[in-house]
Amino acid sequence: MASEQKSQRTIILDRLSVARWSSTLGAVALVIALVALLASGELSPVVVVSALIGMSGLGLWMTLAPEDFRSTLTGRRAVYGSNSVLIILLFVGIVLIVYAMAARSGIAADFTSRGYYTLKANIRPVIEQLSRPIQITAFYSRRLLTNQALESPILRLFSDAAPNKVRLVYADPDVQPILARQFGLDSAYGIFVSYLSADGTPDLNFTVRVLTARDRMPNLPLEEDHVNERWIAEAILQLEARGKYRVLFSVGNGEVNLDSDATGIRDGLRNVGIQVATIDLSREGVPQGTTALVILAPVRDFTQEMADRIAAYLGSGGKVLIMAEPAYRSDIRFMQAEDSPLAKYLWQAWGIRPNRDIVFDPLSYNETQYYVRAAQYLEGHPIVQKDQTGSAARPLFPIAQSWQIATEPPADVVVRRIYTTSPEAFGKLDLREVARNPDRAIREAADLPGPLTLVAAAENLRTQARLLLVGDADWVTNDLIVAFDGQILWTNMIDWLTAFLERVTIEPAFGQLPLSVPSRDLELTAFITVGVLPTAVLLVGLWVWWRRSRR
Amino acid sequence: MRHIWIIFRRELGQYFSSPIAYFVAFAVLLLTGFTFNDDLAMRNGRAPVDPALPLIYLAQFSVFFVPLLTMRLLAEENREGTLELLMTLPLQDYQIVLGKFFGAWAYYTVLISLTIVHQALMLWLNPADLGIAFSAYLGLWLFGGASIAVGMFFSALNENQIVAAFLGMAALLILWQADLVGNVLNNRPLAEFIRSLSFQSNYSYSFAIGIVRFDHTVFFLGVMGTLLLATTQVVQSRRWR
Repeated sequence: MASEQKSQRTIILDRLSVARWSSTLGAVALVIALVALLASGELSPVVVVSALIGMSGLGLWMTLAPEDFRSTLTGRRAVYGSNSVLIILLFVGIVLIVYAMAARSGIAADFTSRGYYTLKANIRPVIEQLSRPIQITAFYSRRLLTNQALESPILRLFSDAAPNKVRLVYADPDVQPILARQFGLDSAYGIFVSYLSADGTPDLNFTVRVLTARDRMPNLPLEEDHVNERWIAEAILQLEARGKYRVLFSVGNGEVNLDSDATGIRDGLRNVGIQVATIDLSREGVPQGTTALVILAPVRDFTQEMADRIAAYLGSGGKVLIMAEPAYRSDIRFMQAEDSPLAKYLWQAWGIRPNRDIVFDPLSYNETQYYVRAAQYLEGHPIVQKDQTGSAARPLFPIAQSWQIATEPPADVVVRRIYTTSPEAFGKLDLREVARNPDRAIREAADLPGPLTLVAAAENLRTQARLLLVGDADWVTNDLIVAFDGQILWTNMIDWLTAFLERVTIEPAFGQLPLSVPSRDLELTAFITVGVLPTAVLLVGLWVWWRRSRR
Repeated sequence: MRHIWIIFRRELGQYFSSPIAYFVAFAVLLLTGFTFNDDLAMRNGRAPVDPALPLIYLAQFSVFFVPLLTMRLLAEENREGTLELLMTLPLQDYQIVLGKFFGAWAYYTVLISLTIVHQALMLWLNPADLGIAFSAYLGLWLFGGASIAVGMFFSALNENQIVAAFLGMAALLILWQADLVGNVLNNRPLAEFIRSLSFQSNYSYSFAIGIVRFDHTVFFLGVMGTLLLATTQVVQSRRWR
């Protein structure tokens, strides 16, 4: 009966109810139009149609019920209501202004005990003494807004440290694809540091990409890719190094070919912003501004003129790395003759010369006794440092010769044995005999006794010149550099010669050890946190309920 | 100030004399305990402990349990007609709102203080970064205050406690999940603006990682202020409706 009455209920449509319905419809349509406009950022058909419906609805209200419209706007509720809305809007405006000022100020307190969000003391001077203003351009696509939020405190460390020298710019590679392409970015994420041109735009010729976690772990998902303070600082240093560090490789004497056999070390230097070029010492001396000269296993010996040019360079405080192969092939003549001009100079000026032997080490070798693995190293020397834990690199030298070091070096010269063989090693001086019986590596009376020096480093304290001598060059070729700490040794040698990365040594930010506890401790923890604590609260609650129910 | 104090004491007393508040605390501590232990078991032998993690979980749970705490604050008074009684007393509307707000916030503070047990256990298992824990607690406290202000606003709008709780949860869930708005919106400036209003982005990427940012602190205080003002206006509207 009731449902029958309900179905028979008539709906009366008068002017006022139509006007009020159209006003409600109009208000809803206007809200939809506003939301659609904000979401799409353009006058889409949805925006236009909703706006038209909204305005028509309100227009209809005003036309059909002008009194109702007027009283709504001027009535007691409207006056008080609009007052309330205005007060709230005013307050929201004040909050937004304060929020914007706070965000702009960048004021933040780092509570981490290791100061993870505080610029490290040794990076701050690097930033403050930048030779030119730089821009850090951080690309994050829309999907990676969370990553941007996580990294912004680290990126801001740099711009806050020197606001007049470091500018921080965020960009979306999807919104600004041309800019992303200019930086060579082909993914949703990437951070670059660039010098600023005179017109305030980033100079793309002087731009370095910050290596990210994915460069180190290619399987890492894009969403987990990140950078840290150290990697950004290294990229800035690489930028600063551009044009300032110049390493020359000697050519023209049968050296290892840098463009085919040792592209790895060449590209490695270029990747960190060090200029790489070649020099023919038979034609010219080492030009000014050369950071280091590398002589990579020449076959032919250097003439007196070439030796003099090297001497002149070292005399002016130059840095030289010489890798000399033993004469295991008849065509290898580099510093093999007694009267070799370069060997004579090294002995007289530095107290070092090649032993002209082939080293065998029965205690430290790999595959064959010709492949000598460094058995001993000079503890604490920067060239041997493998990582920040203090462990040492132990490189492999395939067919090496050793170096003789004078018991009394020349004045102002300090010579150090960086890598040596084991005491059981020996140096075969009769290379023809070795060639005749390559498998007969037995110690004989005529052999040089171990331990033999494989790598020696010398320094002239007066001129600040540095000389590094290695009895093998095969280890820097593309196939072998990746094995047995070769890359570490190469990097350390270049660092020692050029002092390239000496400015930045940052301790790992999170050196905390993993949780390692027996399962009974975890069980006790679970018992307290899942059992005791919630149960105690529940019991108190039950007691309160019981006490209330008794009243 | 004395009036606010009186209302505050009355509200706080009601929490501790009502079994509901204890049941909510029980559920929250149980959930936090489960997630905390699950995380510890996962990290054992693999990764160091993160003192902020149980607090991030607690912040997520706050989205659901804070409206349960705030739903009765004004809705119950509305339904039972006691709000009119309160309004006849020599009290300003803002004093009623602030007193109730601080009462709820104090209860929330007690609740999150109970999780210090988790921190102590974590410290016993493995030395953790106490600085991060402190900053995460500070953030969670502000986060809780803002959540209570949201819940209270919906409690003032409704007479029905369930509807108030539901609306509060929905609003807080949107405010929490707004962090992911970049995945659905094409308009990046708008996405960034909405993200900046997200509770998660203002908590998880600053306080919870050990950094107390001034703008994020202003954000939570601003949300509290705005919504308490709006709640006061809603209460006041009863005088002229």
